[in-house]
Amino acid sequence: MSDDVLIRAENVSKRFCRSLKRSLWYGVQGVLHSLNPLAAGQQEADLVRPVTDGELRKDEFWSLRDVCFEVRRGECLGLIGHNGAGKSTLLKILNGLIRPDRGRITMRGRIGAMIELGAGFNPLLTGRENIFNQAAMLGFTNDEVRRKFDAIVDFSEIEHAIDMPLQNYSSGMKIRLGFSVFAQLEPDVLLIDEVLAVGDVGFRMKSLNKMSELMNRCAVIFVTHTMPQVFRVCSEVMLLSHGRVKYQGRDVATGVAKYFDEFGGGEQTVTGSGEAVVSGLTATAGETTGGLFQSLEIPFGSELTVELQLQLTGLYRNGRVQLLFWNAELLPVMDVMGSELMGFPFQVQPDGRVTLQAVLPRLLLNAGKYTVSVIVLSSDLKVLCRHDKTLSVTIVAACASGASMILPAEWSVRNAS
Amino acid sequence: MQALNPNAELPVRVITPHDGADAFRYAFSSLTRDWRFSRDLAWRIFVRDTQAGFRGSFLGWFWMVLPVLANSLVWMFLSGTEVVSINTGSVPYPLFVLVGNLLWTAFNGCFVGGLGVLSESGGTLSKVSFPHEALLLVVLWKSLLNVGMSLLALPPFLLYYSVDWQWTALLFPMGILLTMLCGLSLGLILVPVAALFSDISRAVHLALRFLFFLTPVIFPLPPSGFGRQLMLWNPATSLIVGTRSWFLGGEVIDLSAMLLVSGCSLALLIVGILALKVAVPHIIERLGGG
Repeated sequence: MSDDVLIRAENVSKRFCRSLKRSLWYGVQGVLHSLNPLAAGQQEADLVRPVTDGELRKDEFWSLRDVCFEVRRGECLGLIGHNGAGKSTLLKILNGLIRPDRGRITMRGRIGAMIELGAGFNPLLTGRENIFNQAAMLGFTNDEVRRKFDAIVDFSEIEHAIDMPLQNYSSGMKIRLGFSVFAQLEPDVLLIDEVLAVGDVGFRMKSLNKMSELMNRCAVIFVTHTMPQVFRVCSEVMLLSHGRVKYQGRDVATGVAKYFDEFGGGEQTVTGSGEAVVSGLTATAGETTGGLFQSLEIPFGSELTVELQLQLTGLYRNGRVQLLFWNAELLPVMDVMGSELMGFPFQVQPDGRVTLQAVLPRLLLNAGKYTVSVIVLSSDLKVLCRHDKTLSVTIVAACASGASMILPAEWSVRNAS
Repeated sequence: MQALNPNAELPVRVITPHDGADAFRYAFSSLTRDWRFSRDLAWRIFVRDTQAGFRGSFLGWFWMVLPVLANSLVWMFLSGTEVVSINTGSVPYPLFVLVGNLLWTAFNGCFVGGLGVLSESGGTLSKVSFPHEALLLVVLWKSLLNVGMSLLALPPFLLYYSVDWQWTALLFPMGILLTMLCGLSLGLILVPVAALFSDISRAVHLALRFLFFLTPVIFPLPPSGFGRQLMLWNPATSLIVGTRSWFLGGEVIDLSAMLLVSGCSLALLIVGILALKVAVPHIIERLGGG
């Protein structure tokens, strides 16, 4: 990794106005002020001074506040945050489309932005013609496009349709075409807004590989909501929340964890016929205990014991129960079953209650926040109850990995001698 | 923070909230840096839009000739049947009104095109970074195409009517260009404020419809009176009257007025381009979609 810094941002801030009419009026004021040749520019010292709320006009708020970072060639800064945190605004400023209200950004080299696939596309023209248009829009000269034309068409795998008007393309084909033009960019600074891997499964692999190749040669800023991609391609991460930098650093796992922390508990959901109810739950791991709807923090590899109280109403006297662990991305990562790889069978007492205990030996789930659902099925596989978020388990592991599970296996050297 | 390598060969771009003289300096330097790219991009966009326009229609070229021709035919009819009586001296009225309409179309097209220079980019304005002066060049190319096609209506009339040709007829193309330049510069200079509130462009469109009748397009410049004074204030007047008389003779040209208007238009155009570059980031920010 070379030492040259290609992107540097110093205390970048931007104001935004909530009301449209007022915003347009501020826009006119801004334009007139910019056009006044006698307007004093900001002094050097003032330029990178942190901002205060006192500088906000009516109906305004800071959409970006005192953002600082540096990116070198070969590095990739992942920009994550909730919707409306200011990520796209920052990208627009870096791309030169809008101006910051305070701060300074210095960029070296050619700037390439993958923000909108298909900018400059006209549906009445053929794919071939649109390649030239898109490439021109992105800054390629005529010669460059002619040289790279075959490579672009090749990469997109739609040679058979290249002379058809674009309105006949499926949206997947259009995306492939757009991406293939972008993939030929040779910038020093690369700004990416979510567009890392597009198309069907085959094309995704291809585009991801191409992007990795490209990213090794540039300083990259990557805006995304897909955390697995962050783990895969980013060397450092910056979490934006309501315009402020909440976390910034090379510990991608911590940054991502803080991102998920922002999204609160949410409501309980109970589905199913209602003939079973979870009346109590206690989870224990060593010294730590948590009750129903509570959360629990345990280290990686712990043994978790879950005691469950169920109440069966209705006519059923028996059933099967299982636990489902969901990760922060709302993917089901672990199904806790009985020994027959089906739900654990149980019978209720005369009053309809039953108390069960499940021992989960050695939880191998990776670090992160998990929610647990309890699912009760009847013997004829009717869902009597599915109760989500009965328990929240946070697993702490000192391991930098984006995988769902970590398995410490038994390794040994087996050289042929 | 490490200092940037002072021996870097890579171009450096610094983005700050600059205003005033700084902003103009930055606009000027990026104009000169990007001119080749702008020129190529403008040609591409022009070719793209024109191809797309022609592709969806059978008689594409015909619709470009029609407006000027049809409008002129109406006035020829009105004059020929003496519903209105317009005295154009030695110049046959049909030719007079045809050339007049042609020049007005050039002026009007460029004015409206210049005013709407930012609204024709189809959403790319806030997504892709490109030199916006290219859009202005596209307006110019489109106008040239329009005028060029409209010129096709002339030959039949030129053959039918006899014209007292003079060497000044060679200046006709330049006259058309100057008229276009005038319209373009006037439309452009309004863009920084017109782009945000739709009131200005609506007012301008309305005003242009009236301005048509306050310009000697379908009638000659009155020899005296309040009407003449009013029309002389109209920048399009001297250019249209002058260019038409270069080509067809008949009217009296005030060369100094033409030079003045042309000079001002050129200056306004240069200032307008710089002002556009300075204003665009504000406009993108407030309008979002572009």
